[in-house]
Amino acid sequence: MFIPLTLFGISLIVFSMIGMLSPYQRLATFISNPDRLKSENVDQLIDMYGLNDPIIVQYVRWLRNLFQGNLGWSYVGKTPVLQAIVQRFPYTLELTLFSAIPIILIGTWMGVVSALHHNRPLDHSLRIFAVIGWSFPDFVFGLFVLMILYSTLGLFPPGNLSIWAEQVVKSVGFKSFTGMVTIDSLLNGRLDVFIDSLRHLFGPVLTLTYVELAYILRITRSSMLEVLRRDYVRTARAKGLDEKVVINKHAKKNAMIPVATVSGQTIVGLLAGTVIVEAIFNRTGLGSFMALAAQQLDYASIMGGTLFFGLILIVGNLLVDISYAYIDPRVRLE
Amino acid sequence: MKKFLIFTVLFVFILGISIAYAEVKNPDTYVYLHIGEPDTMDPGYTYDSASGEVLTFIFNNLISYKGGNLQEFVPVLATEVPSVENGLIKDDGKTYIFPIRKGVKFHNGNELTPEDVEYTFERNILFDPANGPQWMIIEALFNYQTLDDMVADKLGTPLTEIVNEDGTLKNPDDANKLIEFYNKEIDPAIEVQGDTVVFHLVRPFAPFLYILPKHAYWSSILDKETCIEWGCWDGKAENWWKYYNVKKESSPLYDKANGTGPYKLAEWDRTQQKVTLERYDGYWGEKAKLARIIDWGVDEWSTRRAMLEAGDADQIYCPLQYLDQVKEMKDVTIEEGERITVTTMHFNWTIDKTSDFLGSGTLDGNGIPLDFFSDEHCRRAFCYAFDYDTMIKEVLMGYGKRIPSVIPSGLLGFNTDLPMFEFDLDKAKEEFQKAWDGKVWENGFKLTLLYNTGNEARQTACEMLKENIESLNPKFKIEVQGVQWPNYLDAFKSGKLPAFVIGWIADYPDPHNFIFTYYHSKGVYGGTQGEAFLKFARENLDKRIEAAIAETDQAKRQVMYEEIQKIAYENALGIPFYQPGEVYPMRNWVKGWEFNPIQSGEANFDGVYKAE
Amino acid sequence: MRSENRRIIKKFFFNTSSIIGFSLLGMFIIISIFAPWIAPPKEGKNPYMMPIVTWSSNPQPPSPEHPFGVAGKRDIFYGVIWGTRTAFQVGIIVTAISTLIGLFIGSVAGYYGKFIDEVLMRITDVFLAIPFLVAALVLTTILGSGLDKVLIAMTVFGWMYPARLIRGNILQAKEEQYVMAAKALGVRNLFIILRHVLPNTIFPVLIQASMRMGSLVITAAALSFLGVGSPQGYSDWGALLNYSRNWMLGGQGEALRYWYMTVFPGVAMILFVLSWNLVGDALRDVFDPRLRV
Repeated sequence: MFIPLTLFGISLIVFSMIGMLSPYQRLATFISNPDRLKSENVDQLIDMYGLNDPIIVQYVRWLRNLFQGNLGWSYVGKTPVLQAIVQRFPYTLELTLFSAIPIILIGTWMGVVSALHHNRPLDHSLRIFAVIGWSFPDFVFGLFVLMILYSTLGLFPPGNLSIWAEQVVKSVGFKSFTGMVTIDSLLNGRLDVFIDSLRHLFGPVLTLTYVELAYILRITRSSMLEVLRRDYVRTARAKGLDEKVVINKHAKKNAMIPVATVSGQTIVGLLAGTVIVEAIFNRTGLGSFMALAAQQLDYASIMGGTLFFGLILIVGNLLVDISYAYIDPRVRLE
Repeated sequence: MKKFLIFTVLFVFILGISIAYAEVKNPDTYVYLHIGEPDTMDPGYTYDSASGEVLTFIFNNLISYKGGNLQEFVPVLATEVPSVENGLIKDDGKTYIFPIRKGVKFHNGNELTPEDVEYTFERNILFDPANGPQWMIIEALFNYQTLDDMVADKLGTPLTEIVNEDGTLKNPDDANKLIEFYNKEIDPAIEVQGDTVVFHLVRPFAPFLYILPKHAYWSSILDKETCIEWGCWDGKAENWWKYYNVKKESSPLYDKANGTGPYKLAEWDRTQQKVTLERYDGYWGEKAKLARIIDWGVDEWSTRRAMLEAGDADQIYCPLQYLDQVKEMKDVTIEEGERITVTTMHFNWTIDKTSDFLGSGTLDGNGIPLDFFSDEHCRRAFCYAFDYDTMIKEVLMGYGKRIPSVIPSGLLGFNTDLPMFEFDLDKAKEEFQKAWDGKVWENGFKLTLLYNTGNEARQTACEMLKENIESLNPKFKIEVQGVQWPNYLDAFKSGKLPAFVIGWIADYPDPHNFIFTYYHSKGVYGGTQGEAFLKFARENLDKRIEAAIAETDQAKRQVMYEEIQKIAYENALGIPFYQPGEVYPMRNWVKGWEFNPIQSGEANFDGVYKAE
Repeated sequence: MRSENRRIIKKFFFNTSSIIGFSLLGMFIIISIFAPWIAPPKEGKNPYMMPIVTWSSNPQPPSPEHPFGVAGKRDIFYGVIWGTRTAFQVGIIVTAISTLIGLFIGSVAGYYGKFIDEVLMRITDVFLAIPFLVAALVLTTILGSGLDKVLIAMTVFGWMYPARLIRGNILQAKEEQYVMAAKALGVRNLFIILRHVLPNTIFPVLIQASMRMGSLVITAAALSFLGVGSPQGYSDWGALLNYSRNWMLGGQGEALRYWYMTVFPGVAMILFVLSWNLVGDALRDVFDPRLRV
């Protein structure tokens, strides 16, 4: 399959970028801020970590470790890279899944309503509402949400869990099945922990939802508009079928085909794009991990993380393509 | 429509439950929010305040300061503080004797013995990690900066050339030489005699006691048995070199800690940058009042501030520029303190010729020659062009202090009567006119000042200099650029910066720590000021600095450090921007918090408790 | 033909959304052109750098001398006005260059197909699979600071979208009758691409480009959030918003105390992106043959 080849390509591009850095720049991984610059002789660190070796040598070293299953040590995560990724990924996945549901549901619903009221006030206002969300950098909206939900109302705090809930999760009796607290807490029968983690998810989910649903709305709307003009819809109407049936039974189903593709892409995109929301709501996830790794030029983390993301994106897109073929009967015939 | 109803119901449901759960207070837990996260739990390696903050309460040291008084010590794991009077300092300051307390238990139940103390220091010396804190112990005991240097001097080859990366020897025959080195040089320096531990220094070192007390976390006392069990040096002469300069993440003490302190390490959650400490009920001294401490790195200011306001955090780190947001916050008190730190700008007398910041490289109005700052008039002009008072008043909101040179207030050698630069644009103009035989004034110059993004005060300082200097002559052009830390580090270490804003936090409260760092040719910053400065330092400063540290009479040292600072002033070696103050916002229910100028970070969990 | 033009004009200009879109865009263009008169720069200084008006870091609310207030020692009004130029520059430069690169790669891949297509698409996939923010962060660290480096990073990791779009369209167009006819007649490949295929497939690319104008400004703001992006003090809405993030929660009790730091650059950004979205929508409504009744 082309997956290993693509992954190899990713690693090559990323490593060559890192390779263009000077040893002193790379030193920032070990001396991460001015207060940690305490010694006159930092060249010893450069030698210890092989920062002066030619890029090829460093790359080969990394590859060799990779084939032994060792992704290296993450200085940003302070654990081995693989462990750092595995620990953080469930949080990003959880956030993505809990956001994807409202994004898709609300987005398609608004898109259909918009199409049905084409060019009338409702259509325009819905579209502008959505586009405003999409025009806003997510950190601005996120802080705004934090301000209202937490500072003013005090109901939806940042972070993953409250202190008491965290202790429950870390206690011996709590079994971790998926790493996602919401699902795990239900599986463990702890409704209180489940609710607590929902509380902490509410803010980030709200932010992501508003910011992303414009795209789904737009696609649904245009797809719906296109379908509504199709011959078979006109035929159904001519046959005298109830308008509601026409819409729900015939139009919507066919309109959803491109939406399914886009939804899949949105989910996959969300997985990689939660950096900012994670920073503001202080959630530990892969996004903030990668951002920190990039800032500190922690090459092992960057390489491991991009490979991981690459894998997810490729697999995710593949799944989307396959499901597209499955849903759209026209494609299947090819 | 249906979907909308379902969503609304769900929302109201969550809202309802949330209100029920909204009031969760933690009366016996202290939540402290700061930025960043600890580097390691290994005291031998730790050299940053985030780690130190936590280690200070997991471990004990031999002695401690008496509260915030940095001139007086109290015994902790030692039963007496050595002094000349009680006979525990002998041989003109070359021998220190520490009687060790009995009945002290480590967190795992092991009992403290003098052997633990001996092991701790020997293990750390043999460890001497790169960019680590052990140079202080090594300098104090042996008068070398690193173990590597010491081996180079005694055996003729640096240690790094005898031992490979993985701990094996390049030449197996060297094993005997290294064993002998340990037996002859290291082992006798720290000895157990009955119930005491004796330190033998090669020459008197006045600040020796200052590198040992609490808050000097590199001197935390470890448990020999536990360390050996976890995989550290086994205490023997054979193979000690395998444990030299082990990488930070490979140290057995990286994420585990067994100390004698009032708190034990319950958990280090590296995903959330959170350290949880739990009270140790077997503590030999006064038990901690709080059951749990959560030391949490939350990098986003707004989030920290929101948590303080909501009561989910008890204390947070607040950069000065955001003070207005918390000043009148309900139920919040603002404590203040002045740490032993300075911020200065120093010059590069011989800029690396590949530097991007030289412009044209000559005095033609579009650049500077690489030795621009080797002319004292250029340096002095900059010193006069900085508006010290506005900086402290406007930018630091009044939380700052003028300093004559690089020694902060509170230390020996500090004296407000020493000559200080004042903001004087006329004098700055005069100096520029004298610089480089008038060529600077005639042709003008262009240079770039870099600052590390993230520190607003330093950014403003550069911007202020730019405005003031450019106002003197339209041919003067200064560009101020903010760069990310890796790029700043690179430019700084490779000597490409024409001038740099840099600060230093005291490792221990002695002027030597600052003067050596800035002005000795082997100091951390001394070496970054260019070849020409190194020459100047070797001729005029090195000997004075070394003499000042060898002198044991405090009064004489005061005079010597004043002399050094006068030389710094007369030669305009640097612009002493300010000694910054700090603010510590905390909830009203926090009681018993006391500021200690030498503490790492902003936290001080000693004797702290929560009550209405 | 004439009725076709009339139809286009009617759709373009008498549609509420497109009217809003075009007028907003027009407003921004005017502000951009007249910036030096609306917010005069200090003599001899780089006009894109917002002037420092105070040394205290505390923000100041709007006042007669500073109509939008002061933040980060600088005048917000100046920043918002000149930021319009920055927004256009960022959008136009990155969109233009990445679209050109994408066009080239996409056309070649789409037209020649088979092996060349496979290779080029693999390369595109590789670039697409790298998380953009991470790549941009690392790249800007290497290249150094400055807005131009940010633009390079955004281009290097942004050409893939037009490439895929154009490739898809060309693949479709290849099956069209007129192309097959031209090939049968022996017309040279390049000629076919330029003269027949591209003009018919260009519109989706233009529409996508207009959407990207807006989203690029947001991406630049996200980069500012992460610490790269335009230099400190540069007139850039994203940078202004990034600075406001530390003050958004307001003062004690008054959550909206520093509203002006967010509202002015925020509204500018929303309106800018909104206008490009509406314009893109209008273009699509007019030119997308699939929507023609």
